[in-house]
Amino acid sequence: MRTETIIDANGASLPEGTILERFRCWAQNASNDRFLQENRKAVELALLIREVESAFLDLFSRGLMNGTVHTCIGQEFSAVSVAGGLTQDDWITSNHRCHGHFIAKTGLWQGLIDELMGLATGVCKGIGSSQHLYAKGFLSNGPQGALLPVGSGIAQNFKMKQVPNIVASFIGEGTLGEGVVYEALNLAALRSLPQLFVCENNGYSQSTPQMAGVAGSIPDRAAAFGIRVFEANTWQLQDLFDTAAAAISYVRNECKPAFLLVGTYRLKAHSKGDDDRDPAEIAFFEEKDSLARLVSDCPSLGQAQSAVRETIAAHIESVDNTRISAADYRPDQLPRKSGAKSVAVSNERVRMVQAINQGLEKVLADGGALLGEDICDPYGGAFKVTKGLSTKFPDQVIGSPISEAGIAGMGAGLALMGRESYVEIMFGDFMTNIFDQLINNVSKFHHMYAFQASVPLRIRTPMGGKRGYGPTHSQSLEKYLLGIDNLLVLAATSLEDPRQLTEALSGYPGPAILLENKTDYGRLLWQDKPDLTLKKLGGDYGSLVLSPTRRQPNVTLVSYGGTARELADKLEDLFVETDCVAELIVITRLHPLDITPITRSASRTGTLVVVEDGSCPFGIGAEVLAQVAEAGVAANVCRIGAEPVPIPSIGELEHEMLPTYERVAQRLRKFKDDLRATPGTPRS
Amino acid sequence: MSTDAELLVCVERHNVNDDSVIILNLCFSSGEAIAAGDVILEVETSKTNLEVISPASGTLELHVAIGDEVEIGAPLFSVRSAEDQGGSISAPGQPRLRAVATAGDDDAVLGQPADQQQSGALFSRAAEIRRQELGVGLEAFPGRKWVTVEDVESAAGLRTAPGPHAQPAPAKAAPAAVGGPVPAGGRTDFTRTTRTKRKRAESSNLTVYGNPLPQSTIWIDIDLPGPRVVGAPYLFEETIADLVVYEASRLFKNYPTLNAFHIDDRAYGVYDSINFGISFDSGENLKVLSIDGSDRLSLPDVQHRFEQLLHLYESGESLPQELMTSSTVTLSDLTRTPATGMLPLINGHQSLILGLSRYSSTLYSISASFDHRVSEGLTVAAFLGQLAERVLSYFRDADLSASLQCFTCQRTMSEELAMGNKAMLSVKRPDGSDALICRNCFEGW
Repeated sequence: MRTETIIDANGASLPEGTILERFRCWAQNASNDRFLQENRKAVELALLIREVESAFLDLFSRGLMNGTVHTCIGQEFSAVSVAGGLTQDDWITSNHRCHGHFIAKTGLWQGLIDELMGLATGVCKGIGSSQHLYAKGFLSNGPQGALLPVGSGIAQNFKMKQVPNIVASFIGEGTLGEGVVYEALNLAALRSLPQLFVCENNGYSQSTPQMAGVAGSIPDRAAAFGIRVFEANTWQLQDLFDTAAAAISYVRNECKPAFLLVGTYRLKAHSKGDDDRDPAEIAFFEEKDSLARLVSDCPSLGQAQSAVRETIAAHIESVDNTRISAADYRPDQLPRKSGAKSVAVSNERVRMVQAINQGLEKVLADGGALLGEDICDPYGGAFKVTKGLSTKFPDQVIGSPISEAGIAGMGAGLALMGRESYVEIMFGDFMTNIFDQLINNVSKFHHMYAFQASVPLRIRTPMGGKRGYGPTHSQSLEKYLLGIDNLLVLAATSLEDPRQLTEALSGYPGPAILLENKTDYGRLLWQDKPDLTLKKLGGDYGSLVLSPTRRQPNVTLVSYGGTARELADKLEDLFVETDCVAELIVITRLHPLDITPITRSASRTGTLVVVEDGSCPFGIGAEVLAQVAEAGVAANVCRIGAEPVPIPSIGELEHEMLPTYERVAQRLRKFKDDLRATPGTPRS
Repeated sequence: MSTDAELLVCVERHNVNDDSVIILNLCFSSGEAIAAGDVILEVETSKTNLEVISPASGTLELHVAIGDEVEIGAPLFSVRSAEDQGGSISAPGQPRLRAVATAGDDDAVLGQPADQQQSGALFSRAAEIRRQELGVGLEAFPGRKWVTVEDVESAAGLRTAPGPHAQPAPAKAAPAAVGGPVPAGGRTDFTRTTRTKRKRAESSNLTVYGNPLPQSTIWIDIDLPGPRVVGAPYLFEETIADLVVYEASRLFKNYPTLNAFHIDDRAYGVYDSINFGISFDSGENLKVLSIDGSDRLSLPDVQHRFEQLLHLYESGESLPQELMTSSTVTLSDLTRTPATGMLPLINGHQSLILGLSRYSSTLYSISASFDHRVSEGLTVAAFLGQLAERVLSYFRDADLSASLQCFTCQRTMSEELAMGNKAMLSVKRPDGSDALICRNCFEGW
């Protein structure tokens, strides 16, 4: 038995007990006769939502709908009360139970029906269906808390543009179990963002009763961040609408976040027919349902209900059954061109870290945003990459608390609004914290929202060891980041001015990860060396090729990032020690992989060695070799990478575990011996 | 008289965390001439490594050593201006950074003598060793950078391939023009070697009576003392073909004329690689399939490859052309037949074929037929002697006591002796075969 005391919007103290007892109490005492007279439109909107969702359940049972459907039948007034107070330019982020929010905000009920029927006329061409909706001012996604920081990003953008718009972010109380919720609350409170968190408390997270799902007090959770809490329920309608209006006006006028907790009850199953709640309990709330009672008490509403039903049925009868084709669906935003023309690389005499800094300065001058932990002056970032930038662009450089998922989501929100946003994840190891944002949000938005949304988000992060930072600050996790749909992955290297990458990215509409390397930051950009020629191939983010000026190579060495620089610095030594004349191909575009220069070189040299920073199994080397094999190039191949163990802090041991120059040389020598001993190898 | 202008370079603050840095690497020593822009040393901060660059040209004086921890603001090095240095500033374009890579003992490790640096050529370590072995002068590599072992060998005339820009076949079809036999499939993987006058005379003498192929055969017997030290795979339990291929392949390095072929009366070709052809014959379809690069294979690899070829041959599938044409020397193994000796016939474009036969499970005979125009009897005899010696080294004297067993309880002779008994009894079994029986089993029995 819970023993918290709740104060309702009128200041009345409510009886102690479970949340359902409280709901019963509110439902029992509700009277909404006066409400109907003054708010008929809102009631009709709630009716429309209910009838559309009832039609979904009917379509579903008739097998005319794919996937699943989560209805909000019983909760409609929560959607109507909040959306009713929003303007066209305000935004809503929503969740799996989003139909009510969508219709209330956009009015596009026909497009919603078509969407759930999988038709090309759907609001997202049928691609997203029930949980993944998008229209101007609205987006929803299935994973629960992940859109909250995206909403914070949209709110941040409003603030930067100094417009009086707000974001309403809907969650259910079950989502309070996710950490990212608190990252968003924290960020919104710290940055004083115009974001209204609407928590629809229906007593259950899917099948789990609240007693087993939420500890402590819900309003106290928000209040702990200094966020003002508003409370109402969907039985006492006048109070609900007044409270929602008050909350919206507070957020808009004060430009501060607020938390609106709406008590409500879902009359239907979580989705489809998975309901194991007590039938008597459901029957009670059905009997007390505000909308049903209003309709039964008011004959004209009953007529309106019939009319809505007929309109919906007529629409369903007359839909255009065209569906999006595979050819139209497939295209993504990724650059895939690979140019054959090359230009000589000539770099300014600056350090890598300075060059990145200057590249970012250009991004900010063009209106972009920078988010990250400890990136503001005087600290200027853990690796000093952003030094000076927050002083020059105080409104665009956003220093954040330790909150990787939060800032990645916020960056996504800013980017969704068209602002190129760079998020710095202090160590590549912490990329694990933003996987939900990468995989379920930013990489999906473009397709899932039927090509209406683009997310020019850039995640910058340093990978790599050799600094003694140990197992969780030295990893090279690129293999986990490669091959994600529509997510461009670039690896910067001090062989090339990183400003070329930020420059190229400035026109790129999709999300990208920009991998940097800790040991590379302090290096001077590559300067001309006698006897070696460094060229950059054409195409977007073209690969670099470093080869002896007057000597035909007999080994193709492939690498990227800081390790590529190390190998480049020692290419001559490598030759002296191994008798291998290597051509070093430095991949900048890791995904989609720029394979052409590799196949071209390997078919010439007949020998291909891939050096990757992470461990080899299922890594980038495996992908390179697979693509080379698919291209029909027969070459003697091998991979060199980190050992598949956590990276130790102990200096010498760490070096033994990582793909250092020494290991490459040793492996090349052995590889060369093996080659001699293998029958059937091409003789030269 | 000195009017030195001295420039002092101190530790800059690179981040708010660090009050000091650690010296990681020194690229120059005190007293050396440096140019503006040269990387002088590398320092480590708590976050990253930084290179410190000289702002001026002149003579360097270091104030730190590797491993020193230096406070922010403390001097790192000073540069005495160039005016008084007699123009001894380092030439632009020297790869100064290389010193960073190998921390000081660069030259010692890489073994680049001063004269090499003068010639401008960069030799791989292996290439430099080979160059000295072959006594090739540096003048052989004018304007060359990055010289490999292959380049050195080419310069020494050991290879026909002319250096780095490996061109495909056409240029090497030369032997055809001279009129001698062209290796099968137009192969070019050999080095043309000119005969001595004496050998030319001998060669023409041998053919004076119209003998088209002056071949001769020499053989040697090998009496095996006992079982192999390391048991052989099933396929080689009754032969020593694997050992012959493995050891002969290694010996050919010292007997180049046995991995060769006759071109014309002036020259013969020595193959660049050793591809051991194995003759397979099911009775109607004689084929010689090659174990390419057999001198670079381990014994298990040779055995494995042997087995692969046998399976391939027996599968009846069409055989890859290259397998049938690439061999440079051949082995014909008749140990599975009752034959006790053979005079094998040399394959085309080769100078040697080995024949293997046996009198008993322990007495083998290796015969070698060779082209007398390319090689000579004494050479082949020496080769066979060494080969036999090497093959024998794989066998040990029979220690029967471990292998003799009681046929009922499997107790070995050594166990029997260890129990204080003196011997086992030899008995006749019902099927007529002979067997041993231990005392225990005999008495019980």
